Amino acid sequence: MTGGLAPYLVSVGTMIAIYAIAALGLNLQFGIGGLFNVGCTAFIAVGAYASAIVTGPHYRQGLGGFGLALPVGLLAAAAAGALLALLVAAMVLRLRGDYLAIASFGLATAVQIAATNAGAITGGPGGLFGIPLRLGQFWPDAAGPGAAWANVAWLGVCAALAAAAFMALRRLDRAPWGRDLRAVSEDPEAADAAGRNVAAFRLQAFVIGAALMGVAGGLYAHTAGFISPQDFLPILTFQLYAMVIVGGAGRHAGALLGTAVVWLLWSGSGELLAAVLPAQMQANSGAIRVIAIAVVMLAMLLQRPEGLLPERVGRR
Amino acid sequence: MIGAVVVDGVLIAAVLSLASLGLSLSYAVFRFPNFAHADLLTIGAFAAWSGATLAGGNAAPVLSLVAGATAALVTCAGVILLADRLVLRALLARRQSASVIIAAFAIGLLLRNVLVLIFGPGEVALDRDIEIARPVMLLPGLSAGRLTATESGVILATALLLAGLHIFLRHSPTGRDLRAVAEDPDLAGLSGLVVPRIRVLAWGLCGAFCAAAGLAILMLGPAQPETGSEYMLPALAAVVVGGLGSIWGMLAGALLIGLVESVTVHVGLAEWREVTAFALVVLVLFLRPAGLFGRA
Amino acid sequence: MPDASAPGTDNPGAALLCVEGLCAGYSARAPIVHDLSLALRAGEIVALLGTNGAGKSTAMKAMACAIAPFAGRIVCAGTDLTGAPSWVAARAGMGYVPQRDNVFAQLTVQENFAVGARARNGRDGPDTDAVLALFPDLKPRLASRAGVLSGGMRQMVAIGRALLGAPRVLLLDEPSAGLSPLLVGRLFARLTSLRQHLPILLVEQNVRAALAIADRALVMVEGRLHLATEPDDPAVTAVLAGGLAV
Repeated sequence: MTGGLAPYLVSVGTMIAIYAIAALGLNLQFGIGGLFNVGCTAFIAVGAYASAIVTGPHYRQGLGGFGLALPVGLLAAAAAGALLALLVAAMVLRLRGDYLAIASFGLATAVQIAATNAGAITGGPGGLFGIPLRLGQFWPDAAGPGAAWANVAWLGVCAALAAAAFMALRRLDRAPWGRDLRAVSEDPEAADAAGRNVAAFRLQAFVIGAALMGVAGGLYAHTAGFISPQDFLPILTFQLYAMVIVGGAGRHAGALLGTAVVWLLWSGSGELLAAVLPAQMQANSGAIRVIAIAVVMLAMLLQRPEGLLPERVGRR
Repeated sequence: MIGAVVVDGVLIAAVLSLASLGLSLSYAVFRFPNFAHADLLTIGAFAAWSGATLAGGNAAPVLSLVAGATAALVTCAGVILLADRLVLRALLARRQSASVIIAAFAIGLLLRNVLVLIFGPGEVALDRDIEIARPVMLLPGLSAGRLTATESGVILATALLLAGLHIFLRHSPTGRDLRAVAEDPDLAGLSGLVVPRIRVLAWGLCGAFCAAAGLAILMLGPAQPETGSEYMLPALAAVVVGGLGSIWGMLAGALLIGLVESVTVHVGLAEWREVTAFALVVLVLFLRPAGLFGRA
Repeated sequence: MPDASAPGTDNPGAALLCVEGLCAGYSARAPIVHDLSLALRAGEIVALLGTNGAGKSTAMKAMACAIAPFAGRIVCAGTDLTGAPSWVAARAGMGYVPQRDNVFAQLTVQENFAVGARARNGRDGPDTDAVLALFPDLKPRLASRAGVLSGGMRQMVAIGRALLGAPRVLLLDEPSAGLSPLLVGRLFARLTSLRQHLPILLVEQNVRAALAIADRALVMVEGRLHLATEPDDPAVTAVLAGGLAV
């Protein structure tokens, strides 16, 4: 495992697993619950900062020094996402869909500004450096051959968490809870008349989805070892929507497939552009990739709105 | 101090309401928050810069102003009409607001990155003579704050455009038809209004206001590909706070946000000003979902 | 339907609205209206009756081109409107007053009328004064927003808006809904006065009021035309009562 394809595949796989967890969360909110959250970055960001702070050493700037174990960090990440969701939900979840979109869009902006300006906690624009990497003290990844295997082990952890989220959501989906949630999002009035507590179902879907996004944020922080407000730009929310929609909104397997397709497209086009673009145009490669994803997404919305893996009709 | 806060607030509100006009209009007619609006503003600013620069810039100030305005108008209207033609129209016809909003988001990112490809990620600015801010008199002998000639011009132009739009909507047959389509497109069609034509007009007007706002933004300072997105949240806030579909509600929302932002800046929390807009939106949605002046 | 020939001519008895084999609904897999044919001739009021859910309103929406039909043909005053958008139908002379949401609540009465007049397309027809002569109650409310008016006044605004488009036929979906019996009587008396110039197709729950002014009665059962007869035919009420029992 030195150089070449294998490490690249390990890092791509890790990112896919992390994105998949967030995409599963968004799919629960948007694809199944019909909740239009345009501020996914807010929940991912608080998750990332929460885990980084709870597990971290004393940072040069920002809150730290608690040095707790990785699982505690990830729990904190989930809790942070869920708490933020509760806060927002209490205010705007009962409102029309487009209002939730506006409020969540505002939330993402507000969280980014808070991350930039509350330097005592977040490290400010410079962010937090030296977040414990990957498995931390459980698999210290010193230099040398051990480092490569630490990456593989980390991929295993991320993939296991994604698989666990997937299985759990499928269980939920097939339980009465999932059927009721779909009924609530498809026809809230009928569900209300049938005695379902519409607000409670929405709240639960929103909070669980946000907790998953928080976990994804935490995993990202430990993968990168460094986070700053620049890691949580609106493009991230957009990528998640691309993943959910390309895969097929409403199906958990669709979210996984969509994540893999969109991330491979994103990361692959980055590699491709790096190889083919002349040096003086390399600076544009980011813009070209965003344009490519946007075009794919628009084509998908127009030509195949049901996604690659459409929601099966009559499964309810 | 209070005078300066008010004057700054009015200036912020003027630019903001100019930036919100097109959003308010498209929200009223098409019933979705157009997240591509931010990038239309940016396109307006860059097109205005290109037009003004090609026309000679500071060497020919009047000509370059006209050229900048024309370029912004043509580009903004053209871009939004093209987006409507290629994408939005088909998605709007399916009546799924979520896919329309996501598509608008995608269009916005696409436009922003096309700007990056053409102009690079840096900023563009007009070269200009340094302007001296003159005191603004509230009453004879009582000065409230200071504004440059450009700033006063922007406030005046905003007032004129608002009044013009009001007169158009309230007192012209086409404006009346536009209001009818905004309220109930199905009934408007059944009444004999050619709905697609009126929707094209609505997008065109939306593009025109984006062009005006882009020009104003460029005249007040430099623009870069992210400039428009800085206006997105306050503009949405102004539209929602005032109550959807009401121009005067939007203006009231913009004034409120302008004053709150101005206070935020004057007490030394300038970086937090977008958060105040967010807080206002959430507060208003929580307390009065129809907006301060909207009808439930 | 017999005698549905030569649409477009204005001879008495010629069909101004001619519907053939109409299938319509909201999902092609489950149409609500099946194979409906009917004709509306100059000078007549036709009542289209049926129990709740028989497909009357859906049929009327399809005739007005508010929804696209899955099959069949719609011809209004000589113009084939099959699959046309609603404004083309309105401009061809199809006057339609939906049951609900039939006025622009934010617009004034005057503005509602002015929007309706956009369907005129060069035809001669009643002006605002003529509509106000028909509904004098609206005269003092011309500058009011339609949304603040009572249900009865709104119904008048809706019909007035349709009339200002100089329609060749008028389709009314439950004009009596939500009105007091007194108002229903007054409204229907005015409808009969229109018949001379404007044939009317009337969907109604208020069977007795509709039959009192109708020249013919059509009864739909489960999306199909079941009976076409005289308004005083006892079979009409029998079918409707039977339909209720089903």
